[in-house]
Amino acid sequence: MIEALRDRPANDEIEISLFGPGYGESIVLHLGGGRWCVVDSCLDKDTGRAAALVYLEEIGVDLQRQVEIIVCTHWHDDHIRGMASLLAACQNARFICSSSLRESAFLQIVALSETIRGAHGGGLNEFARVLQQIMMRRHCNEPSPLETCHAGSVLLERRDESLPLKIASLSPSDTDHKRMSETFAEKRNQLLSSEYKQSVPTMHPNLGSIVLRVEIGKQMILLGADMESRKSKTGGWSAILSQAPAASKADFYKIAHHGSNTGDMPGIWTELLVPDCPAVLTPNQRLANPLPRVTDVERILRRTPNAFATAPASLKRKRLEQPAERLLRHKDIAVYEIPSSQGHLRARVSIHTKDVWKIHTYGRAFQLAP
Amino acid sequence: MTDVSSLDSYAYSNQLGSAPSVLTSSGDTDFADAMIYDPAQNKDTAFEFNGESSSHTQHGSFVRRRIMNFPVARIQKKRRNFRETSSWEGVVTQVSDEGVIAKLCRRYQDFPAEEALIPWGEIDPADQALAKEGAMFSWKVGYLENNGQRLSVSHIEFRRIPSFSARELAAAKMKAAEYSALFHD
Repeated sequence: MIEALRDRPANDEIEISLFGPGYGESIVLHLGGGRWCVVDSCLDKDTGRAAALVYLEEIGVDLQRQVEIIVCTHWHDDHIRGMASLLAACQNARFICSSSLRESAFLQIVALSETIRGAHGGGLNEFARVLQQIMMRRHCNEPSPLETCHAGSVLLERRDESLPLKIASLSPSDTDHKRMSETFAEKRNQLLSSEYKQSVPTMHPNLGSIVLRVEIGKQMILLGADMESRKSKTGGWSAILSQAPAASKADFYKIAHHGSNTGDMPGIWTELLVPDCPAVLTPNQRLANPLPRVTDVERILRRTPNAFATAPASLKRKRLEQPAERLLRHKDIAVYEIPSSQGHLRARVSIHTKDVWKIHTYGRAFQLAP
Repeated sequence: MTDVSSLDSYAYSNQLGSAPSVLTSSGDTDFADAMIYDPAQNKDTAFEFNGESSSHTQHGSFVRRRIMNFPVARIQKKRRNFRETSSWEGVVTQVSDEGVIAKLCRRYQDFPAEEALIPWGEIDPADQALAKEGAMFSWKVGYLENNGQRLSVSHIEFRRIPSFSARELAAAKMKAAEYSALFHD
């Protein structure tokens, strides 16, 4: 870890650390007063452990006492890797996931995916590990950390005058919840009706993901998760915009869905955010659909000049061992590395004043430019 | 040794990693003396019992004959070994005109760490119908050593695991119910 990163934020300082290796996303939030919140999880390349865990240990945070909540916005691979180990280390943290995930069809898919060997169910298997850990705590008569949320839920509130705090979820809406239930039922039936066992087909749970609004003192932060826009006015970003209070606008934005076009709406920038606010994103370096695209970067820069990414979106070709390297080159087949080298963006600001956010880039992180 | 090379085409094992087999003889044909039972040979036997003589005709008897020893057939493996240098478990994430995009996972990894576009030409025509989203396959790359020659080989084989059994379904249902109970505590 870089030496400069070892300094802890002051008690009256907010910190947002965004880890995004290129495929994965994890946010570590200092809520003031030495209390922490972790949103999603990805892995650290060097240690293979949850990036949030490595960082918090490095800066000397007492994981058992100081981490208050862990939020799992959705169960996609890139948002959940290492979540079970994070929960195990943060014994007293509450674990909050979307209300869509308690659907029986989804839980059946999770249980079925555990029986498919070699399917490397990824996110589903990690979610199963989280549930097994909660089950184990239940057997030991320990309080269950599991909670669910939907649009309008308040996850954490502190009315202390010196450090007021409120974390609320803006999604999923009822429409999105219903849509997710239908998707889960459809995918479960697809899994059961296929002739041969197969890995769970891709599901797009982005509409069921949790968008968070964090108010700490005079600062307000919007964490967009992987939320996307929908045609329906009662779902996706439209539903969030229709219920947003006009007076409160966020000063800092974690751009939704890796900066994609589908994760954006002009209303987000005009209704929910102050002009030219700092915005950060993690890329999604996949072969089929890498994000953000050049057009996405151009669009984001039109919205705000203060945009940052934790890593570039391009995929790196992997050099294989011989003779695989020689043979596959001859056949013109490229194997790309799903990256895990760390890119880290750290933003800090005082809780009590409306200062400018100080943003530092580490590793592969950089400021977006045209 | 008589190599029955015409039977090579019957070699049943044409799979990667196992050498094709051929039917061969164990040695040359030769001859040997043997006692053979011949039912056409009748033998009359005369004997005396309590002062009375009697005779009996036995039908068939053993005779010494010279017979041909045919070589014993046996399966012999050709010297063809596959040495695996890289292997992945893959899951198809997208199907396109050019091929399939797949997430690749090495053994003992929890999460896929690699991704590739595999052209249709690399996939056995018999397996192409199986290459749908979610389909699992194994991909092995290595050397095929064939009588001293070394060939680089890439082999993709789609998994044909029968769908969930009644027992698996019942177990999954029970587990899902346990998971569900956690949300209702």
